[in-house]
Amino acid sequence: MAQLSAFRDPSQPALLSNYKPGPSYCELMGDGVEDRPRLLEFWQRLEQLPFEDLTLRAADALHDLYERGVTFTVYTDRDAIDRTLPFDVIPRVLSAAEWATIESGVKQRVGALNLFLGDIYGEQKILKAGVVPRDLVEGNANYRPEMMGVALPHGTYVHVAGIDLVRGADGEFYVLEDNARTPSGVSYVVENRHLMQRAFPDLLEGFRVRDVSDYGQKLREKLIETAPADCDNPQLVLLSPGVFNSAYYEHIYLAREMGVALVEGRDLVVVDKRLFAKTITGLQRVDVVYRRVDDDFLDPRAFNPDSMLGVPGIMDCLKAGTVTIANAPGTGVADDKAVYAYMPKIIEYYLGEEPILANVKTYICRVKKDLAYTLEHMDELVVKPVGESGGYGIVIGPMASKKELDDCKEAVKAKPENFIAQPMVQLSVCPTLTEDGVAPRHVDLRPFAITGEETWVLPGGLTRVALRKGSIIVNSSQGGGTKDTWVLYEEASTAGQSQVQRQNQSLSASSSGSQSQSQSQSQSGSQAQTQSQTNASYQGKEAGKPTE
Amino acid sequence: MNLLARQAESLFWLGRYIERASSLARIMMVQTAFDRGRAEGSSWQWLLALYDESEDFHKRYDEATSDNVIRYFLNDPEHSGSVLRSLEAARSNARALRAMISTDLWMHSNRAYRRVKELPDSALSEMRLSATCDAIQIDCYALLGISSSTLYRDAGWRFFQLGIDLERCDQMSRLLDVRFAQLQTGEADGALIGDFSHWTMLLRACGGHHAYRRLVSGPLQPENVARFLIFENSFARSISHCIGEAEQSITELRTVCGVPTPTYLLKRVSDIIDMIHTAQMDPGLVPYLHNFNDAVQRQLAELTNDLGSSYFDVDVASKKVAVDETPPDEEPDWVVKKDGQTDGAAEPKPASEQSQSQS
Repeated sequence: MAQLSAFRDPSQPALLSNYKPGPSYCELMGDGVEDRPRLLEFWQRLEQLPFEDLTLRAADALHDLYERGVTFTVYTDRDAIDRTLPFDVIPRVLSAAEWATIESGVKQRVGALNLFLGDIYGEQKILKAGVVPRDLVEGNANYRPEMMGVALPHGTYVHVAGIDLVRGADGEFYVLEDNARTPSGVSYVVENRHLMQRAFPDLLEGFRVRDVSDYGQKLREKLIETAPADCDNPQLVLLSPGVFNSAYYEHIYLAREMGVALVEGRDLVVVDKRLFAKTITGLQRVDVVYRRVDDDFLDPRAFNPDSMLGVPGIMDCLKAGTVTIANAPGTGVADDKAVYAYMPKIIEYYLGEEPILANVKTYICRVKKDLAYTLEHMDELVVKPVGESGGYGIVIGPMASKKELDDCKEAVKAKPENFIAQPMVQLSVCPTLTEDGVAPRHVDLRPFAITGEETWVLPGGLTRVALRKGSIIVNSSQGGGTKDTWVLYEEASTAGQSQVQRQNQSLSASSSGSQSQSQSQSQSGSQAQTQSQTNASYQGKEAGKPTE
Repeated sequence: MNLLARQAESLFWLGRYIERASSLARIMMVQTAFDRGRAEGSSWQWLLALYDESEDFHKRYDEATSDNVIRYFLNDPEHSGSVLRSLEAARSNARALRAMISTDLWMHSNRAYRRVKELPDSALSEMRLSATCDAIQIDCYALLGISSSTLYRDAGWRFFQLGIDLERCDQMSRLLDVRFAQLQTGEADGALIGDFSHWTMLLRACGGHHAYRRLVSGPLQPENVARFLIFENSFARSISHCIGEAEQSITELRTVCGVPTPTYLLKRVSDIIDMIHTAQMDPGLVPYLHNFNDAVQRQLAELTNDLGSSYFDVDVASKKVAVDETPPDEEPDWVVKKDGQTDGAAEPKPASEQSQSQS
């Protein structure tokens, strides 16, 4: 077992001694850690950590994120205020078996999403077969008729997908939402891991956790695969709305990891249906655009004419096949909440398979009996407007006031096709550092899948945690934070154990080498911190005060 | 992909704003020191004349008291020429460049800005001002140091250097004008132009005192100090040195980096250099120094405009012809290809060289 930097005072209670997960499924304990040796070991390591040590290191870790600019930006009248996303230092651990289900389920789902999009913007077989109602697709605000008949390399529409999963009290994973437009958060997955490596090398040491740091290279590789067919030495750029976007840090991060230029709309220009970047040597051809600009703002000529963020004429390039836009315009129709309800049928229709990851039971209010059920049981249901993204306009029945429920009923009755309803999922919990010690808090999981010719799923994901007691809202705007997500390598079978043990030994030998390195790095980190405090003292103020 | 025009512009201004904040802090430090022990009390009015900002100042302040002028130049968020706003602009440019500069450069530009933004009033008091300005200067030096240690040496590096050198020229010519600005506001009479202590202070403020002493012995001559600050090629902040560096950067942009450079830009730089040469020939320069400084500043402003039209504003119509001529990016010749060879080794070479490269 690894040496922990500070040992718990035996007179103090163990870190997890008061931890009671209640009726929810616990990500760490599950049905008990005893018969899962890796989780048991993790549990024991965690118990060894003194609470004060954990709190102190957590505070250092957050300060580190802030100094490094791993932030999202909140704008006021005059100032740009950079905030860090709250980070919980106790990781969420997934076994190899759990991950195998998630990975295959996400691949299946993304495969179906791409086939669905290729079909609805092509032959529309699924609409003709009546599997998905035509008006649900064509009447959807995110449906882009401009995409009809546009052929895309490898039929890839959703190059980058974030599939939001929750785990019910039964321990099963369910898909809560598909994000097929411009899902964000992957930079936190990698930064969170780096942070854990810096702050908790002792917790990680010897654990065989799958690496997440090559996401950028994989993304580049997959995007290049989808370059226009006749393109020699494809040029890739990342199109960002610019410094004022709240996810600007992530754009920076991805551009750096991929080694490509971070451009804004004003850096690009279309000449004769070809896309170019304005460089100091003149115009330079661009073949693949990983865009983090929404459809509406992508091309003022095709969509919102007031957009200053996009590139006039870029849609003409896409139609002419001279450029690849990732994700393709018009993917928003596939991750719509109303279409979501049809996903099991969509998977079955195109792949002839049962969904590996089930949907949360969904009542489609446009269907009569579902509407009746929704109105009858609204106080038990979560009612969601369709065509929206990011948790807007959601009414959580069990937590809503009578007036909110009445208003919601009126709205649903007036336009049933605008709503769906789902039973409230008893989200799983994870041990989380709180003011009152380590306590259970609800979590979800967003794995990221990237698709070129084929789909690759990052072995990890964004675990969002509702930091407020009892809350099930994990969104950062409402008190949500994140955790590092550890996907473990397969456990060694007993037959090959001696060999694996030897392997483990050599692994821990080499990792203790890297540990000493990371310690000296973190020492220099704390030196920098002391220095910043000294320097800051000339102003008579405390260092690291987050005014900016 | 080549450097984007927008990134080149941001690098240029990043250099300029860091240097500007540094110079302003230095000028204020000189003034603090000079201000002490004056017979007729303190006055900072000339600083407004120096930057031609009297009008803007009086929109928001009644009197040009030392407190007001210090605040105006140090951390007035409404004044675009303040140290605070310069560091804010440097930070904005760093933020726009964040994907291509080092994390350290970004972190420190963020810190430098925050420290000035969070300055308590007490840091602006006469007792503390010198230490405050000193700390700002050190922060600026740190930024320059991180830049030179971490910036990639492509065209972007030349643009960053251009920003620094042009700003240094501009600031030096302003600094040389301090006394003339004081004359203008009636804070000093003509005789003071020959004031010995003033010129010592100037030398010290730009770190040139020792260098000057190495070159010129005997009592300090105001003419020679001025000429040193303008013409001494080996002094890193002299106008002559900085414009020479700027010419070098532009030449390298054209020859080393292959950036198309219009002839009017090259001509502008050589005109400025000629102007400085002509002035050097004139032994009676100092009484006319103010006019000379004016001319330098005008020319620098024109040069900045020329840089914009040469590099930063990409004219789509005129560049359209060159569209298909831009070669695709290639990997550097030291990259080992999958077949285990480098580009260099793949090229045909004389037999003797080949055997060498194999061994």
